[in-house]
Amino acid sequence: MKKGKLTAQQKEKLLRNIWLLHDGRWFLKSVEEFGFDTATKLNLAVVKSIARTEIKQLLAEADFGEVRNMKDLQALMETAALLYFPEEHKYAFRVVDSNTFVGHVLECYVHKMVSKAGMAAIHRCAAKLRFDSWCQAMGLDGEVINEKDTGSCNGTCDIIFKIKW
Amino acid sequence: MKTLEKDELKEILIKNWMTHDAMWFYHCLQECGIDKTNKLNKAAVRAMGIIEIKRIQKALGVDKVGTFEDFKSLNDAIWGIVKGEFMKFSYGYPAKNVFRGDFDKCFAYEGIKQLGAVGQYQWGIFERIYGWLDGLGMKYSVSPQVNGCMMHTEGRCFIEITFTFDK
Repeated sequence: MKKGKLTAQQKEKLLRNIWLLHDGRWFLKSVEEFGFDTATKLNLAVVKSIARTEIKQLLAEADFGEVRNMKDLQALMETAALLYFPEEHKYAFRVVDSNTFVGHVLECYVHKMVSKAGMAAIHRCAAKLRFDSWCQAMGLDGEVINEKDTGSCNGTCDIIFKIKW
Repeated sequence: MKTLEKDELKEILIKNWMTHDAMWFYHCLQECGIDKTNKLNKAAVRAMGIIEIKRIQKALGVDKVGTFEDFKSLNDAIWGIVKGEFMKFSYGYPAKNVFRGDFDKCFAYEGIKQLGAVGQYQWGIFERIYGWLDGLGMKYSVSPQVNGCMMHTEGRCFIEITFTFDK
Protein backbone atom coordinates (compact mmCIF):
# COMPACT_ATOMS: atom_id res chain seq x y z
CA MET A 1 0.00 0.00 0.00
CA LYS A 2 1.30 3.41 -0.95
CA LYS A 3 0.80 5.66 2.06
CA GLY A 4 -0.17 9.24 1.50
CA LYS A 5 -0.51 12.15 3.85
CA LEU A 6 -3.10 14.78 3.14
CA THR A 7 -2.77 18.50 3.72
CA ALA A 8 -5.46 20.33 5.69
CA GLN A 9 -6.78 21.75 2.39
CA GLN A 10 -7.07 18.28 0.85
CA LYS A 11 -8.92 17.02 3.92
CA GLU A 12 -11.29 19.99 3.78
CA LYS A 13 -11.99 19.39 0.11
CA LEU A 14 -12.69 15.70 0.74
CA LEU A 15 -15.02 16.44 3.64
CA ARG A 16 -16.97 18.98 1.61
CA ASN A 17 -17.31 16.58 -1.31
CA ILE A 18 -18.29 13.57 0.77
CA TRP A 19 -20.82 15.68 2.67
CA LEU A 20 -22.43 16.58 -0.68
CA LEU A 21 -22.23 12.95 -1.73
CA HIS A 22 -24.09 11.91 1.43
CA ASP A 23 -26.77 14.54 0.83
CA GLY A 24 -27.10 13.28 -2.74
CA ARG A 25 -27.52 9.66 -1.57
CA TRP A 26 -30.30 10.70 0.83
CA PHE A 27 -32.06 12.45 -2.04
CA LEU A 28 -31.65 9.57 -4.51
CA LYS A 29 -32.75 6.95 -1.98
CA SER A 30 -35.77 9.13 -1.16
CA VAL A 31 -36.65 9.32 -4.85
CA GLU A 32 -36.41 5.52 -5.10
CA GLU A 33 -38.53 4.99 -2.00
CA PHE A 34 -41.16 7.75 -2.22
CA GLY A 35 -40.98 9.24 -5.69
CA PHE A 36 -39.75 12.60 -6.88
CA ASP A 37 -42.38 14.86 -5.32
CA THR A 38 -41.90 13.64 -1.76
CA ALA A 39 -38.12 13.55 -2.16
CA THR A 40 -38.20 17.15 -3.37
CA LYS A 41 -40.42 18.21 -0.49
CA LEU A 42 -37.99 16.56 1.94
CA ASN A 43 -34.96 18.10 0.25
CA LEU A 44 -36.39 21.62 0.42
CA ALA A 45 -37.31 21.20 4.09
CA VAL A 46 -33.82 19.87 4.87
CA VAL A 47 -32.09 22.72 3.01
CA LYS A 48 -34.11 25.30 4.90
CA SER A 49 -33.13 23.76 8.25
CA ILE A 50 -29.44 23.12 7.57
CA ALA A 51 -28.92 26.54 5.98
CA ARG A 52 -29.89 28.26 9.22
CA THR A 53 -27.55 26.03 11.18
CA GLU A 54 -24.56 26.33 8.83
CA ILE A 55 -24.55 30.12 8.87
CA LYS A 56 -25.14 30.37 12.62
CA GLN A 57 -22.31 27.93 13.17
CA LEU A 58 -19.98 30.03 11.05
CA LEU A 59 -21.02 33.30 12.71
CA ALA A 60 -20.32 31.78 16.12
CA GLU A 61 -17.04 30.04 15.29
CA ALA A 62 -15.64 33.06 13.45
CA ASP A 63 -16.80 35.36 16.25
CA PHE A 64 -18.30 37.47 13.48
CA GLY A 65 -20.70 39.59 15.50
CA GLU A 66 -23.60 41.39 13.90
CA VAL A 67 -23.98 41.82 10.13
CA ARG A 68 -24.63 45.57 10.03
CA ASN A 69 -23.91 46.72 6.51
CA MET A 70 -23.05 45.62 2.99
CA LYS A 71 -19.35 45.35 3.79
CA ASP A 72 -20.10 42.87 6.60
CA LEU A 73 -22.45 40.91 4.36
CA GLN A 74 -19.88 40.69 1.59
CA ALA A 75 -17.19 39.52 4.01
CA LEU A 76 -19.45 36.86 5.48
CA MET A 77 -20.66 35.65 2.09
CA GLU A 78 -17.09 35.31 0.85
CA THR A 79 -16.07 33.32 3.92
CA ALA A 80 -19.19 31.13 3.83
CA ALA A 81 -18.83 30.43 0.12
CA LEU A 82 -15.22 29.33 0.51
CA LEU A 83 -16.18 27.07 3.38
CA TYR A 84 -19.40 25.56 2.08
CA PHE A 85 -19.28 25.60 -1.73
CA PRO A 86 -17.22 22.95 -3.51
CA GLU A 87 -14.42 23.97 -5.86
CA GLU A 88 -16.53 22.99 -8.87
CA HIS A 89 -19.01 25.76 -8.04
CA LYS A 90 -17.95 28.86 -9.97
CA TYR A 91 -19.36 32.18 -8.88
CA ALA A 92 -18.66 35.89 -8.55
CA PHE A 93 -20.04 38.30 -5.97
CA ARG A 94 -20.89 41.93 -6.66
CA VAL A 95 -22.07 44.76 -4.45
CA VAL A 96 -24.48 46.76 -6.60
CA ASP A 97 -25.39 49.41 -4.04
CA SER A 98 -25.70 49.70 -0.27
CA ASN A 99 -28.85 47.55 -0.33
CA THR A 100 -28.17 45.13 -3.16
CA PHE A 101 -25.75 42.22 -3.29
CA VAL A 102 -25.61 39.79 -6.21
CA GLY A 103 -24.19 36.31 -6.44
CA HIS A 104 -23.57 35.48 -10.08
CA VAL A 105 -23.51 31.71 -10.42
CA LEU A 106 -21.33 30.88 -13.40
CA GLU A 107 -21.25 27.07 -13.06
CA CYS A 108 -23.59 25.53 -10.51
CA TYR A 109 -22.46 22.33 -8.78
CA VAL A 110 -26.04 21.32 -7.97
CA HIS A 111 -27.07 21.69 -11.60
CA LYS A 112 -24.07 19.63 -12.64
CA MET A 113 -24.92 16.77 -10.23
CA VAL A 114 -28.64 16.84 -10.96
CA SER A 115 -27.98 16.85 -14.73
CA LYS A 116 -25.69 13.84 -14.32
CA ALA A 117 -28.56 12.04 -12.60
CA GLY A 118 -30.87 13.00 -15.49
CA MET A 119 -33.18 15.03 -13.25
CA ALA A 120 -32.48 18.64 -14.27
CA ALA A 121 -35.84 19.14 -15.97
CA ILE A 122 -37.85 18.30 -12.84
CA HIS A 123 -35.49 19.24 -10.02
CA ARG A 124 -36.42 22.18 -7.81
CA CYS A 125 -33.58 24.57 -7.01
CA ALA A 126 -33.16 25.20 -3.29
CA ALA A 127 -30.79 28.18 -3.57
CA LYS A 128 -33.38 30.84 -2.74
CA LEU A 129 -34.54 28.87 0.30
CA ARG A 130 -30.95 28.37 1.44
CA PHE A 131 -30.08 32.06 1.18
CA ASP A 132 -33.40 33.17 2.70
CA SER A 133 -32.45 31.02 5.68
CA TRP A 134 -28.95 32.52 5.75
CA CYS A 135 -30.45 36.03 5.86
CA GLN A 136 -32.85 35.07 8.64
CA ALA A 137 -30.02 33.51 10.62
CA MET A 138 -28.01 36.71 10.17
CA GLY A 139 -31.00 38.68 11.46
CA LEU A 140 -31.37 40.60 8.18
CA ASP A 141 -34.54 42.18 6.89
CA GLY A 142 -34.84 41.74 3.16
CA GLU A 143 -35.53 39.33 0.36
CA VAL A 144 -33.63 36.98 -1.90
CA ILE A 145 -34.62 36.83 -5.55
CA ASN A 146 -33.76 34.01 -7.91
CA GLU A 147 -35.89 33.96 -11.03
CA LYS A 148 -34.61 30.67 -12.43
CA ASP A 149 -35.18 27.05 -11.47
CA THR A 150 -33.02 24.03 -12.23
CA GLY A 151 -34.93 23.23 -15.40
CA SER A 152 -34.43 26.70 -16.86
CA CYS A 153 -31.05 27.88 -15.56
CA ASN A 154 -28.55 25.84 -17.58
CA GLY A 155 -26.22 26.02 -14.58
CA THR A 156 -26.08 29.81 -14.32
CA CYS A 157 -28.19 32.35 -12.48
CA ASP A 158 -28.16 35.60 -10.53
CA ILE A 159 -29.12 35.45 -6.88
CA ILE A 160 -30.06 38.92 -5.73
CA PHE A 161 -30.09 39.95 -2.08
CA LYS A 162 -32.16 43.09 -1.37
CA ILE A 163 -31.43 44.12 2.20
CA LYS A 164 -32.96 46.89 4.32
CA TRP A 165 -30.43 48.11 6.90
CA MET B 1 -13.93 38.46 12.47
CA LYS B 2 -11.40 35.93 13.63
CA THR B 3 -9.53 33.80 11.12
CA LEU B 4 -10.46 30.16 11.51
CA GLU B 5 -7.71 27.63 12.10
CA LYS B 6 -7.58 24.49 9.96
CA ASP B 7 -8.85 22.29 12.82
CA GLU B 8 -11.75 24.66 13.40
CA LEU B 9 -12.68 24.56 9.70
CA LYS B 10 -12.61 20.77 9.75
CA GLU B 11 -14.79 20.70 12.85
CA ILE B 12 -17.35 23.10 11.31
CA LEU B 13 -17.56 20.98 8.17
CA ILE B 14 -18.02 17.72 10.07
CA LYS B 15 -20.52 19.20 12.52
CA ASN B 16 -22.63 20.69 9.75
CA TRP B 17 -22.43 17.52 7.71
CA MET B 18 -23.70 15.45 10.66
CA THR B 19 -26.40 18.04 11.36
CA HIS B 20 -27.44 17.91 7.70
CA ASP B 21 -27.68 14.12 7.97
CA ALA B 22 -29.77 14.53 11.13
CA MET B 23 -32.09 16.98 9.34
CA TRP B 24 -32.70 14.42 6.61
CA PHE B 25 -33.46 11.86 9.31
CA TYR B 26 -35.79 14.25 11.14
CA HIS B 27 -37.76 15.35 8.08
CA CYS B 28 -38.05 11.76 6.81
CA LEU B 29 -39.27 10.70 10.21
CA GLN B 30 -41.96 13.39 10.17
CA GLU B 31 -43.04 12.54 6.64
CA CYS B 32 -42.73 8.76 6.49
CA GLY B 33 -42.31 7.24 9.98
CA ILE B 34 -39.43 5.43 11.64
CA ASP B 35 -39.37 2.21 9.59
CA LYS B 36 -38.88 3.88 6.22
CA THR B 37 -36.55 6.44 7.76
CA ASN B 38 -34.32 3.69 9.18
CA LYS B 39 -34.28 1.98 5.80
CA LEU B 40 -33.40 5.18 3.95
CA ASN B 41 -30.80 6.29 6.47
CA LYS B 42 -28.95 2.99 6.28
CA ALA B 43 -29.20 2.79 2.49
CA ALA B 44 -27.97 6.37 2.04
CA VAL B 45 -25.01 6.01 4.40
CA ARG B 46 -23.92 2.64 3.01
CA ALA B 47 -24.12 3.92 -0.58
CA MET B 48 -22.17 6.98 0.49
CA GLY B 49 -19.54 4.87 2.29
CA ILE B 50 -18.83 2.79 -0.81
CA ILE B 51 -18.02 5.91 -2.84
CA GLU B 52 -16.41 7.74 0.08
CA ILE B 53 -13.72 5.11 0.47
CA LYS B 54 -12.85 5.30 -3.22
CA ARG B 55 -12.37 9.05 -2.93
CA ILE B 56 -10.25 8.70 0.19
CA GLN B 57 -8.15 5.97 -1.43
CA LYS B 58 -7.62 8.17 -4.46
CA ALA B 59 -6.65 11.19 -2.35
CA LEU B 60 -4.23 9.10 -0.28
CA GLY B 61 -2.81 7.28 -3.29
CA VAL B 62 -3.80 3.93 -1.81
CA ASP B 63 -4.66 1.38 -4.44
CA LYS B 64 -4.88 -1.96 -2.67
CA VAL B 65 -5.38 -3.22 0.88
CA GLY B 66 -3.64 -6.58 0.87
CA THR B 67 -2.60 -7.08 4.49
CA PHE B 68 -3.92 -6.28 7.95
CA GLU B 69 -1.15 -3.68 8.31
CA ASP B 70 -2.41 -2.04 5.10
CA PHE B 71 -5.90 -1.95 6.55
CA LYS B 72 -4.67 -0.45 9.83
CA SER B 73 -2.81 2.32 8.00
CA LEU B 74 -5.78 3.14 5.83
CA ASN B 75 -8.24 2.96 8.71
CA ASP B 76 -6.11 5.33 10.81
CA ALA B 77 -5.93 7.73 7.86
CA ILE B 78 -9.71 7.59 7.32
CA TRP B 79 -10.50 8.47 10.91
CA GLY B 80 -7.94 11.26 10.76
CA ILE B 81 -10.03 12.77 7.99
CA VAL B 82 -13.64 12.12 9.01
CA LYS B 83 -13.66 12.09 12.82
CA GLY B 84 -14.80 15.23 14.61
CA GLU B 85 -13.79 16.15 18.15
CA PHE B 86 -17.40 15.74 19.23
CA MET B 87 -17.38 12.07 18.22
CA LYS B 88 -16.48 10.39 21.48
CA PHE B 89 -15.17 6.96 20.64
CA SER B 90 -11.96 5.05 20.59
CA TYR B 91 -10.78 2.16 18.48
CA GLY B 92 -7.94 -0.29 18.36
CA TYR B 93 -6.72 -3.61 17.07
CA PRO B 94 -6.86 -6.10 19.98
CA ALA B 95 -5.60 -9.01 17.87
CA LYS B 96 -4.42 -9.70 14.36
CA ASN B 97 -7.28 -9.27 11.90
CA VAL B 98 -9.51 -7.64 14.51
CA PHE B 99 -10.75 -4.06 14.62
CA ARG B 100 -12.67 -2.90 17.68
CA GLY B 101 -14.52 0.36 18.22
CA ASP B 102 -15.89 1.50 21.60
CA PHE B 103 -18.29 4.38 22.00
CA ASP B 104 -18.27 6.26 25.30
CA LYS B 105 -20.97 8.62 24.12
CA CYS B 106 -22.81 8.62 20.84
CA PHE B 107 -23.91 11.82 19.12
CA ALA B 108 -26.41 9.88 16.98
CA TYR B 109 -27.99 8.27 20.05
CA GLU B 110 -28.23 11.64 21.81
CA GLY B 111 -29.80 13.22 18.71
CA ILE B 112 -32.33 10.46 18.08
CA LYS B 113 -33.25 10.40 21.77
CA GLN B 114 -34.19 14.07 21.45
CA LEU B 115 -36.46 13.18 18.54
CA GLY B 116 -38.18 10.57 20.72
CA ALA B 117 -37.45 7.77 18.26
CA VAL B 118 -34.58 5.96 19.94
CA GLY B 119 -36.65 2.84 20.78
CA GLN B 120 -37.04 1.97 17.10
CA TYR B 121 -33.81 3.52 15.84
CA GLN B 122 -31.44 1.30 13.90
CA TRP B 123 -27.90 2.54 14.02
CA GLY B 124 -26.57 3.89 10.76
CA ILE B 125 -22.97 4.60 11.68
CA PHE B 126 -21.78 1.02 11.30
CA GLU B 127 -23.35 0.99 7.82
CA ARG B 128 -20.81 3.61 6.84
CA ILE B 129 -17.96 1.34 7.94
CA TYR B 130 -19.54 -1.59 6.09
CA GLY B 131 -19.74 0.66 3.03
CA TRP B 132 -15.99 1.30 3.28
CA LEU B 133 -15.23 -2.40 3.64
CA ASP B 134 -17.58 -3.33 0.80
CA GLY B 135 -15.98 -0.62 -1.34
CA LEU B 136 -12.58 -2.14 -0.58
CA GLY B 137 -13.89 -5.58 -1.51
CA MET B 138 -12.94 -7.01 1.89
CA LYS B 139 -14.29 -10.11 3.57
CA TYR B 140 -15.28 -9.60 7.21
CA SER B 141 -17.58 -10.69 10.00
CA VAL B 142 -19.18 -8.47 12.63
CA SER B 143 -19.85 -9.03 16.30
CA PRO B 144 -22.20 -8.44 18.03
CA GLN B 145 -25.00 -8.58 15.48
CA VAL B 146 -27.24 -5.75 16.61
CA ASN B 147 -30.16 -4.32 14.73
CA GLY B 148 -31.31 -1.57 17.08
CA CYS B 149 -29.35 0.92 19.15
CA MET B 150 -27.01 -0.81 21.60
CA MET B 151 -26.43 2.39 23.57
CA HIS B 152 -30.17 2.50 24.23
CA THR B 153 -30.59 -1.16 25.14
CA GLU B 154 -27.31 -1.79 27.00
CA GLY B 155 -25.95 1.62 27.92
CA ARG B 156 -22.76 0.95 25.98
CA CYS B 157 -21.85 0.36 22.39
CA PHE B 158 -19.01 -1.48 20.71
CA ILE B 159 -18.25 -3.34 17.54
CA GLU B 160 -15.66 -5.94 16.57
CA ILE B 161 -14.91 -6.62 12.95
CA THR B 162 -12.82 -9.66 12.06
CA PHE B 163 -11.01 -9.89 8.74
CA THR B 164 -9.49 -12.80 6.84
CA PHE B 165 -6.05 -11.48 5.88
CA ASP B 166 -3.32 -14.13 5.59
CA LYS B 167 -0.65 -11.54 6.40
